[in-house]
Amino acid sequence: MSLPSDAPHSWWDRVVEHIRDDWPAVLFVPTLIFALHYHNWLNAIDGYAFLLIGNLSAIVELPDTTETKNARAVVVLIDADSQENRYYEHSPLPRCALLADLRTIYAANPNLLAIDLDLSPAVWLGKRLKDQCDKAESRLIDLPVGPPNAQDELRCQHQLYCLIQEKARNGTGTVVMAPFNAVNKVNAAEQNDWLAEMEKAHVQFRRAELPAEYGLVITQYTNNDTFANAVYGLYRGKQNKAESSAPTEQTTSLINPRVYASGVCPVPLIVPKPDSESEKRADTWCPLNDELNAKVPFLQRLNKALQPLKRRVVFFGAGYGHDDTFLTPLGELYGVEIQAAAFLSRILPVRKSELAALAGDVLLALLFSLLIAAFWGRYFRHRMSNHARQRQWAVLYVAFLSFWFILVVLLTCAVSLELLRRGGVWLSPAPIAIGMLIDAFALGSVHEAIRVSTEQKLELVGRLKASQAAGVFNEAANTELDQYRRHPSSWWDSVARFLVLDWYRLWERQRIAAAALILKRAVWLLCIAYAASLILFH
Amino acid sequence: MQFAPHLIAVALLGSSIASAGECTGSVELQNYLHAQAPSILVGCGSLMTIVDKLMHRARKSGRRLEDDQPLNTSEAQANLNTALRDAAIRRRIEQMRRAVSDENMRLAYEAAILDEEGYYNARDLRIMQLLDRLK
Repeated sequence: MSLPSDAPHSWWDRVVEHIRDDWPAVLFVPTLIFALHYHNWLNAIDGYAFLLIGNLSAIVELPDTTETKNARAVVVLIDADSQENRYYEHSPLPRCALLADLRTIYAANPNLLAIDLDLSPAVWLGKRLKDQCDKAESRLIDLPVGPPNAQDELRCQHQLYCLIQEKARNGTGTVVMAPFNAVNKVNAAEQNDWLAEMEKAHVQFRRAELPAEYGLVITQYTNNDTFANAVYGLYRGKQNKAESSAPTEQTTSLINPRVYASGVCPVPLIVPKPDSESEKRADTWCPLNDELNAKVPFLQRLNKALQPLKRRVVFFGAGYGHDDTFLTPLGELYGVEIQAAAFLSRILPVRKSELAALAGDVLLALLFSLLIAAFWGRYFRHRMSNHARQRQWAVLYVAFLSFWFILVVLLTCAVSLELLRRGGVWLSPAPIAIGMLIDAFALGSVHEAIRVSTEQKLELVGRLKASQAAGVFNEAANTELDQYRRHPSSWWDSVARFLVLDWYRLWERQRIAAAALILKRAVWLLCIAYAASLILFH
Repeated sequence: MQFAPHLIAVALLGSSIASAGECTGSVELQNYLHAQAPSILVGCGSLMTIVDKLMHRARKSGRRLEDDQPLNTSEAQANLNTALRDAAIRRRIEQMRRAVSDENMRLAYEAAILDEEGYYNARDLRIMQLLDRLK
């Protein structure tokens, strides 16, 4: 076996040599992580990464493009004030108040209306009216003022259904959330009967479920029977047929966090009083819900919000309470707002690039493996050095590697952010970070330890051969043996060495190295003392 | 790349020491985002708010009962008239009136009969009349 060559290498030669030696190990981790990521096994960490990066991508404004101008929708919200004073906190929502609000919304001539409310016949009203719909009546009926009563509510419920049917027949694309299933058989039959009647008038009923993973909503279901998908189908001029009742695999896609800020325009029935008066920018297409707008009637505000829209898409739903709120990259938002964002994300999608992700992972793994080799190599060479001072400095190389690891993770986050903001491409930094973590502190360190110890063994053999040739083999062998720290003979010996003897003996030969050792032991003692104090005194 | 300093700041600050803006829904979010200089670290919808919400979320674990609605007397009277049109109920009430002479007791018994027959608004009307007499 030949000894290692001492021939000088340029840095590029060393890089090439490193890659040539290590490429199988370097490729293994990124491809393994890629496969785990592809099969959604890293969803938890990936979800949190998307939440944070998505938030930054949405908050920082970009100039409007044709694409972003098309991805706009108005969300009419039953706000907390309306729910309390006009809907009398009643559940199910009073039909007369709903009828009044829907009439106003239809007066703004929406092309598409998506209602994220359960409008199925209210059980407390008894059997629903099945009279013929009278066009004139649905427009002119006087609505009662005050708390809901069964008689008026039953009449309003009938007129509400007539109004929605009439508008859907006359071309307003209408999607209503599929009602919550009735438990009682009679109620369920009544509900099915009503659904069939409404569907005859081209009203579509779709599931309004949102996939909440690890407490976050960052994706939407893309199956045909979903709410946002049906709205998108109507937007494109297609009627998506709901899938059969046979269970199908749920498919999902990311909701673009940018559309929460740039595409969703909330118009509450009553504008809430702002908490503080701050200076507003004038360059937003969506009318602000400030004190000035609070005095403007709802229809006027709705028309103003719809004015810049090519296709007048209106979502209508609940904007009160905490029953229908979800954590999104932009904070806690109401279900109907997320449905609007889900629809807009079909126009302005977030693309995933698996090939670019794998290429990025491999490239970074290659680059990072150089850092790992450099820092762990130096660490082990110093740790196993004959010089006491070098042994004490060795730990610094682990600290440097940790610093570089954090820096590279932050840089990959910054790259992900820029790709998402400007290109709408989601390249998750999570697999790269996990891969680097495994490489840096598990596989990479072991690999370097083996490499350095092999090098040192070969160097030792070289030194012993040379000493034999010089006739001083025994002296050389004893010197080498002196380098090894003998095992402590007892518990007391171990503790005494750790606390005092190690640095005391070193102090006589190498004061700087001894000081470094004292510092490390002091940090160790402080950690132990702090943990003990927490247990004893808290 | 310009966000790297922000990300480092976030990593260093940690969530517990930053003040998070409390808000729900896009109305407050839009008002915040359209303010002159929205910060990525504090305020409604900011990164710190999200991190804070990820770590601690408090939800009320009870359901509020609906407020009592005042009795609609005309509706209750209509409900009573409907009940009295039922011959069986009318017969029960007349029987009771023959057996009981005290007017207060009659109202109480009548409320009980209407309750048994499922005419709740009419029952509430009789109870309201009884309470008025007892004032």
